[in-house]
Amino acid sequence: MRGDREMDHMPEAMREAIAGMRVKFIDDIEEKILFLEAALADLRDGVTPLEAARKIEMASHSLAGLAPSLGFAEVGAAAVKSELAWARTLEERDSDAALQNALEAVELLMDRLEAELPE
Amino acid sequence: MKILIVDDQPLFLELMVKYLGNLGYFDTHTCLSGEEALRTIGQAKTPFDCCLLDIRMPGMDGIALCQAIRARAGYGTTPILMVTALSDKTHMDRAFEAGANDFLTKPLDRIELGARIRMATALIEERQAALRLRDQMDQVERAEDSIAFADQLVLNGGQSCLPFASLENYLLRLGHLRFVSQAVVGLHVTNASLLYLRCPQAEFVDILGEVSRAIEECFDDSRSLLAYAGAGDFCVVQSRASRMVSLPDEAEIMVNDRIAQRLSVLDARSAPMPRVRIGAAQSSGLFTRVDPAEVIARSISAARAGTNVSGPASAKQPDAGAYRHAG
Repeated sequence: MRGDREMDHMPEAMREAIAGMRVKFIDDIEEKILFLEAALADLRDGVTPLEAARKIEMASHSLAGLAPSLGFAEVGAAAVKSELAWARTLEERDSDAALQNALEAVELLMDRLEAELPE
Repeated sequence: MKILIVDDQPLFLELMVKYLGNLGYFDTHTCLSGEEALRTIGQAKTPFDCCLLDIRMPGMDGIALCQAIRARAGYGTTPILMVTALSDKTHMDRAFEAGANDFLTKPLDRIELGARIRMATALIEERQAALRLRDQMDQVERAEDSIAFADQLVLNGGQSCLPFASLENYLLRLGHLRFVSQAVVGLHVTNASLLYLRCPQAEFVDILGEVSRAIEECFDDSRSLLAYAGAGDFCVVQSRASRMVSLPDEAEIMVNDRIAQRLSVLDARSAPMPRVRIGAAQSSGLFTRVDPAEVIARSISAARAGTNVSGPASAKQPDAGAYRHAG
């Protein structure tokens, strides 16, 4: 993983700082999952589906940039897939296939996030 | 160097500050939104030397922020680097049009960040050199050595006119497929050396600015970009379907007509009317990749040599007056 390889060549203080940020990221994981679940619930309720889809796409986008920067490569990859899938859903609003794909992508993203939680 | 970093994710800001500190840049200031950034800029006693802006943020996005910063007094040439995820590449053209100088991709890479910041430092030095030159021009009406003929001047052109280093950056960062869809056209002011010798330096720079605007008025592709490469050479980046690429003879007539209109007040006894020659468009092939700097060099060489029969960059190039890339 690029992140891990980078970490090997970092000064000790930098490595420690990033380790601290990784802990913060993990601390926020539950909140991120709850956010995504709430948006999915809004989507299913159909009250503000467009806004809910945009929230999921933006949250995926944020994770796509942040997670791999902190060495969470698998979360980053799942977030990129989710972001692209939701962007496509927002473009092709009548496509059931695109929506199905996006729902699967965000589920995978939440699984990947959960996998980083301490046991 | 005083750096402003704007991103809606606090953890990303923290990471950026750590990386920059690790690279020796400690005077960093962070903001969580475009609106907060504009307030911070407004309240700053000394202006920021460089801005790093996330593109996608809630509320004011990075592109609108870039535009707003550029509109502020003293921020016309401040290096602005956009920070973007790979999936944001579609925003690249808009960001360059809004005045961005370069891109930094997420996930954040310490080595890439260092390289981009060094590029920003080079831009700051270029800007300071330009300011020094402007001062010299104000003080000395005709200082023979303040502007070299080959200097890549930052002209007072329209919104498509970039510093030459920014245009090079743009091409380097385009990505192979998008680069293939673009062509680089060289335009050579055939009597530039005569203008340089005959005109006071301020007038020489003004005339080049007018030439730049005349070229921009002839663009039929709204995404075109332009830069002055020094020694009377301009570089234009356009889609392959544009007029300058497909009909260079016609475009050459149009550009020269526009120049004549814009400079109709020029005193022919003291300075000749600039004449522009357009060279053959150069581009990279899908399977025969040519380095962007090489494509630029070939486009300028073609304009200098007066060959305007379009062809791929790999075609035989003119030897006379060949342009050598400074980098």
